[in-house]
Amino acid sequence: MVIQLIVNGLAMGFIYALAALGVVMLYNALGIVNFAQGEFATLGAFIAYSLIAEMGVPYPLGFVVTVMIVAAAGVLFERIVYRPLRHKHFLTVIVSTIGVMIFFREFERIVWKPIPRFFPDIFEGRLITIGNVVIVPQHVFIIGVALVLMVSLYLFLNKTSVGAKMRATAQDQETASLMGVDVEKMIVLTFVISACLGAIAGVLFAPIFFITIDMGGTVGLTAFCASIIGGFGSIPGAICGALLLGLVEVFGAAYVSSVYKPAVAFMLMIAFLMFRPRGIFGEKVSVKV
Amino acid sequence: MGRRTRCAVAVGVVTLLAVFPLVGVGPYYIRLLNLAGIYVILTLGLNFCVGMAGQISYAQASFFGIGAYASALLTLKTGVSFWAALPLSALVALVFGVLLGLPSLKVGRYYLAIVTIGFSEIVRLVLLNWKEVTYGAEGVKNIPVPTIGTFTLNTDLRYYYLVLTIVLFAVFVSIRIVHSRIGRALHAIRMSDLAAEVMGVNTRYYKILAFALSAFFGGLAGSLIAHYDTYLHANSFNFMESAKILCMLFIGGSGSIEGPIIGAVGLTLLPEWLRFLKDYYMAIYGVGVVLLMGVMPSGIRSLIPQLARFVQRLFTNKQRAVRSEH
Repeated sequence: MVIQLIVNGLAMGFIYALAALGVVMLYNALGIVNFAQGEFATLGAFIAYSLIAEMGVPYPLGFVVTVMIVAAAGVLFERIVYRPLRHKHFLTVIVSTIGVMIFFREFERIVWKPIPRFFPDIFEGRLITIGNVVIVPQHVFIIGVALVLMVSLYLFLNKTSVGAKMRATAQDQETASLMGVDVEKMIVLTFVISACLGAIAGVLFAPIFFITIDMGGTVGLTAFCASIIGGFGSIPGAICGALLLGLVEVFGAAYVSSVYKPAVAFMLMIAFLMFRPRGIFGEKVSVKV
Repeated sequence: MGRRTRCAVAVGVVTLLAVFPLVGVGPYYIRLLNLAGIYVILTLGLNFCVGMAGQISYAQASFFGIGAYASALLTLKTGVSFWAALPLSALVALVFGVLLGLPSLKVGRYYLAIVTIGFSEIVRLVLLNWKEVTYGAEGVKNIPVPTIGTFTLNTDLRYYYLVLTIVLFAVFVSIRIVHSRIGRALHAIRMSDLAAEVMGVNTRYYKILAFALSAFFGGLAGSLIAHYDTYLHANSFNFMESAKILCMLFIGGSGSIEGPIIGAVGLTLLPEWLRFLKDYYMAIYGVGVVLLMGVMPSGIRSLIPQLARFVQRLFTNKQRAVRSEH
């Protein structure tokens, strides 16, 4: 029982971690928080559903195509929403992202109708049994994919020249552009990566629950909570925070009550902000002058 | 404008609003006007916190919900009349507003945004699951309609005058506060809370006051909706509802008095005029919000001076034309 819950919790945690990485990368690079981040996950899940379950595209191909489409949505988001608002007040940006959220949700409602969809289980209901421990293969799959992605993202950011340019842009746009970095391109790339991470989280998450219009919103907000718990702006922090939240949610639902499961992330986050506002790894967060 | 003209304009507007529904407006439109009025109260409330003090809050729908539930449960379970429940429920909301104001002293911007989202999610879940008190997922049914003696406010038209009274109260309080010491303090905090603090503004007190006022207005609106619809469900007071109120505030123009009114009335009536868009309305609305924030970040209100100049020019031209005829 406990081992099953741990696997389950880690799987949820890794999904949050992928979305949280998207949030943190955007924040580090541009200093904005995209509350519509989770909508990329919903969009990914719906597109993957159409491609794989309805049109019969093989899973790996469907997965890749989905991520590419959502990446394109990320580029559009940068062009239409972020760029015109770049130097505007943060309240304006927040309201604008609400508009984006409404648009995504309604777009999905029009295209896929407000019916919850079941994503077919790629493992066809098989279970892994080791002794008396039963594990859902999708959970293991999620953990595996997420780990591979995180390692490759780490290598990309730290070992490639494009990664270095991206980090330079995140540190100081002006200096980076003086060094010959195409800052505009790096910003678009940041949006693309963040949208892709969201989409992947959505596709991985889809077989565990129904796909609904609200699905991504929950994932996105939980991811944001996770990054605060970990220490905002810190990548290892976001991952740890996400894993912690995944485990707390699953164990809380199993041993305490599942009714308040959606509030667990918020309560934990508020507790952290009250007593340890810098999170597990982060720097001081109180309002900057 | 002098004091006299201002008074005359105010009396004129109030008379117009009082007479307007009597001249051939169907009950459906009066219902819409009532809803618009309730949203005006909500948006004016949110304006204290977001527009004036610059503190983001995604929790206005929660105060709306808290007020609605408080009012409904007070009248149903303790038998208090609506007239006592209305101020009491606003006070209950105010207490929660003070509570939510506390974190704003420690964190700002995005952190505050997520804290208020968290707060409203927790409130919704408590309302939804605390069966013994809130009737849980069934919702609250048969909420009594307000009465004055034997006169019941059971039609849209009768309720209109109740809503109008509270709206006028809300507008009056808002105007008085904007031009008071409180309004100036909140404005200073929005500009820079550090500078405000240095200039001797008690920022802790005023930030909490801004949240409390927001919540108080939210509670009033909640009580109004509870006894109007006579049915409540916790899920109506969700994140998207708060988002809608925020959109109303910013589309109208935050920080002013006319902005929230324009936004709330406009966005309540707009779906009626754009009926032909059917299912696409909300999607277009979303795009509209994004575009408007890009093009006109201070809201539709920023058109008013232009409009005024246009009207003025129209008048002066006419006068000149009249004069030349003579």
